[in-house]
Amino acid sequence: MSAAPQVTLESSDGEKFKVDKEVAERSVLIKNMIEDVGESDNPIPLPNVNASVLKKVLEYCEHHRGDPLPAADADPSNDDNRKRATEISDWDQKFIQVDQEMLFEIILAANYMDIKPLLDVGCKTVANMIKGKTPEEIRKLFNIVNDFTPEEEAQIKKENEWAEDR
Amino acid sequence: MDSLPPELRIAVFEHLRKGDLISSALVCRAWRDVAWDEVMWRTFMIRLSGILKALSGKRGLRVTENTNFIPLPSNLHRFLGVAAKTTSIHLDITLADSLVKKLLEIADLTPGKLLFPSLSRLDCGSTPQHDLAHNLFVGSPIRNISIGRGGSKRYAVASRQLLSNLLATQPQVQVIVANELDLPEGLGIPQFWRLPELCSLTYCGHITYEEWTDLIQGCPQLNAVVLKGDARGTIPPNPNTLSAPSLRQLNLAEFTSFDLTIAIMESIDAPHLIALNFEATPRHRAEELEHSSANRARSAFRLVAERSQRLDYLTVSTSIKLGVKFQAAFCSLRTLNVVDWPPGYQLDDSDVELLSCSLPNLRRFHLEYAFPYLVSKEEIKTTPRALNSFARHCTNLTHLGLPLSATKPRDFVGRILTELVAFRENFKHLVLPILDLRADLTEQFVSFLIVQCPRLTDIEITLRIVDRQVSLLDLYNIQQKIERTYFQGQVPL
Repeated sequence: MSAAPQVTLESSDGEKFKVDKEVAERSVLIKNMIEDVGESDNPIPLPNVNASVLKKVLEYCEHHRGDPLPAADADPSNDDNRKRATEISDWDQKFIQVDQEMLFEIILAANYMDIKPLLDVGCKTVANMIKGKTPEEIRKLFNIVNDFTPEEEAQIKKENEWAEDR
Repeated sequence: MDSLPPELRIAVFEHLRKGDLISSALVCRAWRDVAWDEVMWRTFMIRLSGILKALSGKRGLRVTENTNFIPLPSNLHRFLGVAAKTTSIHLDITLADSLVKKLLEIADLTPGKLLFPSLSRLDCGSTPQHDLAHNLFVGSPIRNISIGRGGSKRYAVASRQLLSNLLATQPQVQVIVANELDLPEGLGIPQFWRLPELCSLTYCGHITYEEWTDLIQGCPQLNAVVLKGDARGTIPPNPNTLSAPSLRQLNLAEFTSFDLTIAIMESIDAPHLIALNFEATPRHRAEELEHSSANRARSAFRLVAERSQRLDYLTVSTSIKLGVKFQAAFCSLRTLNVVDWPPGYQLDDSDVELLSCSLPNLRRFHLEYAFPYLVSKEEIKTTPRALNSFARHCTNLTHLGLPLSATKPRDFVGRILTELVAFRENFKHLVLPILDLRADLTEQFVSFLIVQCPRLTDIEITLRIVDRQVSLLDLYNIQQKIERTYFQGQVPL
């Protein structure tokens, strides 16, 4: 029995990662690249992802290697994801316990590499951080400067009154 | 978070509930723009009517076939080749006199031969036509003329001239739609008033009481009249009764002159009248509403209704204060549209109760606002209780359009559903402009209606949009979403 086919990925800072093709193909981007150019020994460059992030992303792909792939034509506006907003599996939750900078890097990488489930995990995690917080707490959390004039702030509060859950 | 591009921020916000979105909108400007879009996405104007129609699979797009008459010097021969068969023409360019001359020259009509021997419908659009244009249509059996939509005063003068020229050679015209011919005095089109076969006239322009009586007396076939525009000349204080045995529809809702409206209603004796539209208060004159004029309007209306005895369709404004007094006049009504105007005359639940018990045969009821965008939710006085009045008294109701107010959306939906259950079997068309109802509740509501009202083919629900543009793409997307959610094989339509 021959070994599982492998591919080599190259991060933006030149580090090479040799992984099973099945693992790499969790990324729709890589899957399409392999389909387009055929299998070769040349490393696949990922100029938008650095080594530390890529390592983390591949850890995710490795763990989820056997999961059923989302249908290619899955409808992005489908509401299912939103409804499962708070549900993140235990492993994923532990996996995504990283500092903020890494969290956003992972989201960006998941988006670039087109790994929808990972993107969802990242976005849900950020959403969970926001939940239940006041605007001031959110600013503190993400180190954001309040650039509203008092008038603008009052205006939004007024506009939003109608949308509140009464 | 700042490192994320907007589309990824949206991906994050998609996982938030509305309360958290509102907090997010208050964080900073960049967040506001994205979070607010997400709020908009969810709290949205939804118009389901079209979708439901399309999905019922029974009604398709209606395609009207028109001949677009665009003769150019290069294609005149080809055009003449089909002229004999043409039954309907829509003029959407100006026919220059030189072109008309050229056409007639090429056609080289022998005496008695017509250029358009089959033409029955001529729509002159809003383009100005020159002096000779009508010569193309001399002798054609035109039954239906539309003329003058929009355009400048110059267009109106030219359109009016063309209509005069056409009518001079078309005594058999049955339908005239003449819009936007509102011009100073002295440019009348007297041919209107002596067309023996005229059945339907829509006229927007000045009219005197004498012209009105000439019209009714000179057109014995006339059965539908829509007057827009204004009065000119003096109106006799006590006009003689004017017999209009053929008149079935009279629409004065957009006619500006209150006095002439009342004079027409007081004098007309139309035993076969089945449809009447009028507003007791002209929309631009709310401030002038006086007790006496409301009284005049009421008694004029009662005269019309009593003479007719078979009024089936009525549009009036709330200022006439409909109520049990009109029971006799109302009992034949099957369609009632009430325009909520002027301010201070809103229908409330007890008005609806009174109205509905006078309307045993009602099939369709629609309450609309004269100026929907100016209505705040505090001004809506009808609540879900009004539905119950209709359910008890108007057992044949199939079409209902009623704005309802609510302070607590969640209870509100429950109450509507309770009231609706009583007569849901009948509904075919439901318009509930529910202000300030949240999108998720609307979805629940719609899904309930679809399942519970087996005959329902049209629903229109309007959610309030606040000060923010919603792109067409958004609208399209939400329609698609609802289509997928509710209509993919789950609902037996």
